[in-house]
Formats: sequence, C-alpha cells, structure tokens
Amino acid sequence: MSKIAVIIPAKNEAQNIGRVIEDVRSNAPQCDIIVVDDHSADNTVQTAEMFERVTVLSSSISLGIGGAVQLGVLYALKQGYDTLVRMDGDGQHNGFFIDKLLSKVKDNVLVVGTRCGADFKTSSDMARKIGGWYFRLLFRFFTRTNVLDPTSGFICFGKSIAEKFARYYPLDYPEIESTMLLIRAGYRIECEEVRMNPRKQGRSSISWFYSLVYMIAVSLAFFISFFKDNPYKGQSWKSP
Amino acid sequence: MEITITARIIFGATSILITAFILYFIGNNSIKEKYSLLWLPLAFLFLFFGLFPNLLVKISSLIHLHYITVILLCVIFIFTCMLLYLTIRLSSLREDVKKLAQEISIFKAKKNAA
Repeated sequence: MSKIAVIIPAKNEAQNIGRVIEDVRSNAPQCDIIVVDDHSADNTVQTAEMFERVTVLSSSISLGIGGAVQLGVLYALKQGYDTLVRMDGDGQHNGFFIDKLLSKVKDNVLVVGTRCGADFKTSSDMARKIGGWYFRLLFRFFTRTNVLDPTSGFICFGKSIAEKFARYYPLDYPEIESTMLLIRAGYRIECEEVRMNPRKQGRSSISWFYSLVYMIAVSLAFFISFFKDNPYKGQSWKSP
Repeated sequence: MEITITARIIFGATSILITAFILYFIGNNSIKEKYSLLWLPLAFLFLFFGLFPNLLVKISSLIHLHYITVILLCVIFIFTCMLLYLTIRLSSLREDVKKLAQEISIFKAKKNAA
C-alpha cells in the first residue's frame, strides 16, 4: 500500500485553493494533501487551513515556484510518502486525472500530465502554444525523447525521483530543466493525456512579454543543463 | 601624453564621488567588514589616481604599458573577476536562504501538527 501525497504549490490563490482541495478530495480520496504557500500576500494559508487533514506549509520568504515544490517534496519524504503528485493551485489541473497519472507511475518514470490538442485552443493562449511547440522540438531533437507537454506542471513521480528533486530543483522555471536532467540521468518520461479546466479566478502569470523572457531563460537553462554536472546522477539525497 | 584640464576636473570629481559613495555605504553598514576591506583600498586608489592622473601615466610608462587603454583593460578585468566572485557568493547565499526557509516551514508544520 503506497502512501500518496498531492503537493499543491500556491501563491496568492485564496480564491482557488479551496476548490482545488475539494476537487482532489472528491476525485482522489486516497491521497493526502500538502499545500505549499509561497509567501502569499492574501489569505491563501488561512483558507487552506480551514480544511481538515490538509498540511499547509507556509514560507516566510518567497521561494519561487521551484523552491515551493521542493519544500513540499522534502516534507513528503520526511513523512514517508512514496508517491507524489504535483498540481497547480489555480484550479487549472483537474483532480479527476490524478488516478490516471498514478496508474502509470513507476519508480524510474516521471508521468507528465499532457494537455492535448483540443485543450490548447481553449485554455492556453498563443504564446503558450508556441512555447510548448518549441520546447517539444528541443526535447525531440536533443534528447530523442518525446515530451509532448514539457512545460506542464501536472506531474506524478515515485520516491526515487522525489529524492532527486529534494536534492536539486531549479528555482524559477523548474519543469523543463528538471525533465531534461532526469532524461540525462536515465529516467523515463511518460506522457499521459489530461484535460484542463479553464481559469476561473485570477489570471495566469504568463503574458506575452513574460513568455518571451520565459522562453529565453528556459532555453538557456536547457542548453546549460547539457554541460553541467548532473545533480540527478550518482548518490541520492539522504534525510538529515 | 598630456591630460587636459577638463579631463582632470572630470576625473577628480568622479573619483571623489565614487569614493564618497563607497565610504557612505561602509559607514552605514550596508557593506560587511569583509567586503569593505576590498572596497576601501579601491576607493582610495580611485581618489588618488583621480586627483593625480599624471601619476597613472607615469606609472604605466614605468612598467612599459604605453597605452592607457591597456590600463583600462586591466581595470575591467579586475572588476569582472570581482563581479564574478560576488555573483557566485550571491547564488550560494540564495541557496542557503532557500534551505533555511524550507526547514523553518517544515518545523512550523510539525509544530502545528503536534
């Protein structure tokens, strides 16, 4: 019987976090929920704490999305969880698909919830679409691996990968770089189709200008990760 | 090589300004002791050569650097090294701060659970 935790990083998601928690509760009742608050200015923490049996980790400084996810992973490992799901706190990821991701997870496999073609038209703007297409090409060309939606934040992984993430997880644009490093370290990527919910409250942090900066920064990280010492190879993280 | 009076005034004023800035930041503890050891001599070097630029020209011909641009390149090189060093320090500090914040969060969660 594996112990499963859903890690939900949230920054200023007081309006959405409740809905996300209820969604996970109803669709995947076997999972424990860990909400990681990345120094929100609104009352994300208070909202999440109103729910029973939800662990809320709150940071006193802004860790960045990567740091927040890593915090969730660190905590989950210490609590003895062996299977982890990470989903966004804004309600775009549908809890219905958690079981689907879980069914594919193995110790050396990263399962990536992949937005399918139809969803790209509705839930994503053009910039995101072009970005996705571009990174898909990068992965195909440089790693000979199909990662259909490498910027997806809806992922599922086992203890072995969790230990890697606990040791190193990029701070600002973590998905691409960590996927790349995992592939280089010999892990397999499994793409599993999921449907996205349209955003209800708030807006995505990705604007046109920002997505350009994002693409440049992540491309850089992608190519640098070719040459740098792979932190995912070799001995793994030990609980202090 | 002669240095015109206008150039001397600009050199002098700039060097006084930079030195004043560095002293100000050291004075109000914005720069840690360790780094003020680095910046203080540099500030005085600035001031000295800013006020007496002819000395710089003399020294450069003494050590057979006949072009002032070579001196400039040396200065740029030194500054690049300093910047690189500081960026590396900054990155590792950022990592340290992140680890600390994460550990505190985990402690807080455990305290709440207990």
